[in-house]
Amino acid sequence: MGLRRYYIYIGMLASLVSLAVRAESRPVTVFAASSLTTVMGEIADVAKRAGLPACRCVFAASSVLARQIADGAPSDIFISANRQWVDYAVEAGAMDAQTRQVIVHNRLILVSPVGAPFALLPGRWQAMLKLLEGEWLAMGDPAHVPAGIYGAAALKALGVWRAMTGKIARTANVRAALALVARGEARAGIVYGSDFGVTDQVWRVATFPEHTHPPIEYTAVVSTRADRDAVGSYFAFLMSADAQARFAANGFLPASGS
Amino acid sequence: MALSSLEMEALRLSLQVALWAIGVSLPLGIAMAWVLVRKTFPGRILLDGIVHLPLIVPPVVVGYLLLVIMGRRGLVGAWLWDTFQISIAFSWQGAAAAAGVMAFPLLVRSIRQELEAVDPKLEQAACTLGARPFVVFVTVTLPLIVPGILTGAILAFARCLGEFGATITFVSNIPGETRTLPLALYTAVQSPGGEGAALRLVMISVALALGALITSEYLTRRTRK
Amino acid sequence: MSTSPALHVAIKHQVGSFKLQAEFSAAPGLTAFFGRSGSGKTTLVNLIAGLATPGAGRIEVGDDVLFDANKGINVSPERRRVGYVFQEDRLFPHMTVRGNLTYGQRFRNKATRYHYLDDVTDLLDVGALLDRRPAGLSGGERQRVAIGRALLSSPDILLMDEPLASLDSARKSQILPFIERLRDDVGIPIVYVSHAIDEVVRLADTMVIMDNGSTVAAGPVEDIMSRLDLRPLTGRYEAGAVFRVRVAGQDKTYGLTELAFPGGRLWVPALDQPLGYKMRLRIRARDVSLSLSRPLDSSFLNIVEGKVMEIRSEAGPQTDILVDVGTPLIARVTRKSVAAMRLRPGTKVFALIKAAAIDRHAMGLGGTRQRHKS
Repeated sequence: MGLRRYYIYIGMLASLVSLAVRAESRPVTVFAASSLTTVMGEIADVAKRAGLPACRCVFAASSVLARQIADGAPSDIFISANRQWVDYAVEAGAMDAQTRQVIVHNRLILVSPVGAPFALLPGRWQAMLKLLEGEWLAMGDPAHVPAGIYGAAALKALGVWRAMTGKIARTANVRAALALVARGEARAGIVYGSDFGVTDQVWRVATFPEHTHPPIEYTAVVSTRADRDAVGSYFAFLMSADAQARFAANGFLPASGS
Repeated sequence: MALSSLEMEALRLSLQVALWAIGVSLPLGIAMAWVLVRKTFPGRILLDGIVHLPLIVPPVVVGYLLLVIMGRRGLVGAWLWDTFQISIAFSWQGAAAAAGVMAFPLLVRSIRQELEAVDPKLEQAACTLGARPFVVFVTVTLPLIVPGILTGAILAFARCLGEFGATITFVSNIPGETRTLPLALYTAVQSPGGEGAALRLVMISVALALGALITSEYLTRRTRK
Repeated sequence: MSTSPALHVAIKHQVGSFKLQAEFSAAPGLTAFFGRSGSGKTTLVNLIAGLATPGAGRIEVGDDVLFDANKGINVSPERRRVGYVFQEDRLFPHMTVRGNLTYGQRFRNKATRYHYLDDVTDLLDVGALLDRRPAGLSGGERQRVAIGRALLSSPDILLMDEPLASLDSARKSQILPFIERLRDDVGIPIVYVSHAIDEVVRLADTMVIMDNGSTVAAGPVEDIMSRLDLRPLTGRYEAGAVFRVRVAGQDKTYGLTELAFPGGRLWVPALDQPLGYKMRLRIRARDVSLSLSRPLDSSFLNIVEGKVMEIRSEAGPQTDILVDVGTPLIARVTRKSVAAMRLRPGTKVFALIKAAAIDRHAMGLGGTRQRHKS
């Protein structure tokens, strides 16, 4: 059995497999916050039908994406769930500050598994502590995930943060927190209003008052090295009526107001 | 059980990454095994240790080191990017590099074991018959270590298929580019409603691993006859 | 015709605390390196092959300088045209016999190849084994293949390091004729390392004795074997004088063969060889007795007249006596007898040799090329 034969086999397999990489015109790469997972897929379909270039989306926590972009990840458009991470990417020179644009807003809500719902009387947030005794509250990591940063701010404003810190299951992004609640692993979770419609396995307990956290603004920005024509048209499309309709249908709030 | 396009893409990517990783590692692994077994020089034990590091150190550490060295702002990567516009970070080539580095020690260990069993006296005999050192290696040593090369390659291949920590740290999780099976599974687990996809991905991964192990056994038996 | 010796070695080398010093020239034919285990024979062969590099000196094979410390010449082993047959056959397990045999051929361009597969397989009788693997062969078959492999690389000199050491005596006696054929039919010089005196006597033309890393003596076998001062090295128990004989007659009735030698005639147990067949005979010193007068009613068939040349006395009860019977003959006699018979250099004696004592192992049967020093 010649070694050469094996090398040939391996070589053939490898080239066959890599031939499967479709050589196509480069799609627009969008790095978007994980809460945009569902809606960006829909927008990409609409954009394709409108004749715009295809879109390749990468979803993760805005913090994770910002770091990758700063390290040189090939991203044409970055949509972050908070300002902090857009600033970070801009400061790293990867993103063009002049193209900054707030495209949507969002709300922050408290959810529980649909099989174990509970209710909170308006304003009676302290009751949460009793209800969550011995249980876990899932939310994005307050150290860097925007949803976690907003959630921590809200809990602090409501005066229950210190008591809750031991009960928090920190997840890598907001959708992971949602998944934990949907599976019943966590008794409650803090997610965005737009996340509520993604799965029918969660129950909306309450919405956090707007004054308890900074406004949740999704900022989009274009890469300093992107091909302006292709990317620019895509970027502009995000603000178009069609795209905004998709956002609204998924539970996002328009850019201009509450 | 129909596979969605996402799963097919993850499968294709995993195979592509693993095959390229092994293809490039193989000659390097053979050369390294040769150096560690047949040559003595100061610092050989250190080299041995470095080669085996990926086995012991957390995969995330390896991924981070790759980023520090080969990323677009990395020690070597920055120069490559500025001069040639070449970067392997955030690409499937980078995923192949991460997988290859993690699997390298397995490859070297297997080949090395086989090489240690080859009697240097046979090589001496070939030498006296007129063969230059490289010819001796190709005609005498290499055929005798084929079982070790095969076992090592398949073991390393399976390791590449399962590589996660270094991959996600170095090349992140870009669908169609770096989202191999383990990363796809990770994403599915993190997404609400991803249980169906997760199950399918698990089954594909297990099937691949079993396939690799069985092939390894079969080939080892055939070449040891 | 080259006037340089087939092999000329003058080197110094050190491995750890073992010092090796070798200086000798060998004539064409088979040269034996003889000595105890550890005397440096294998080291010396490795130095000639280029597998080790001497500290100083010069090695020449024919007209080719393989090593010269002063001139900075050190030909790498793969470029020295030496064929090396090792003690353990070292056949390549992943190739067939044919693959092993022809391995070295490709490194010689066609013009310098002078051995071909058919000739060599005939010479060594390995034709039936060509498609088999080394693992399935017997020890004797493997060594023959190893010899063939070395030959087919068309070397200028053949080195054999105790090639029969790992074989039992039945196999050895099967292979010895092949080596004799090599010596006689293949024109290249052969270096044959051995610590077995009967192999050396049978096969060698020239003998180099090594002791403790030094070449102590070198020369034709008969001369070396008849030197009393070398007796401690040539092995007390088995050694004895070696001389050339020729088959002169056959006695079918009693199953004896008559051999002519420079000192007269000898009767030995029957040899199946034609009249005129030339060969070499070794008579163990301990099988030779001496008498001052010709015994009349004794069982000795071989009684040869001669004169004492040299008496070598040592500690112990035995003494070696060199007797000139037309050619040197060594007798081992007790010191007491020497004193009783008042043996001195010059004393006329009769050497008594039992025909039965001269066995097959003592005879070096010549090959198809019957050489005879005139």
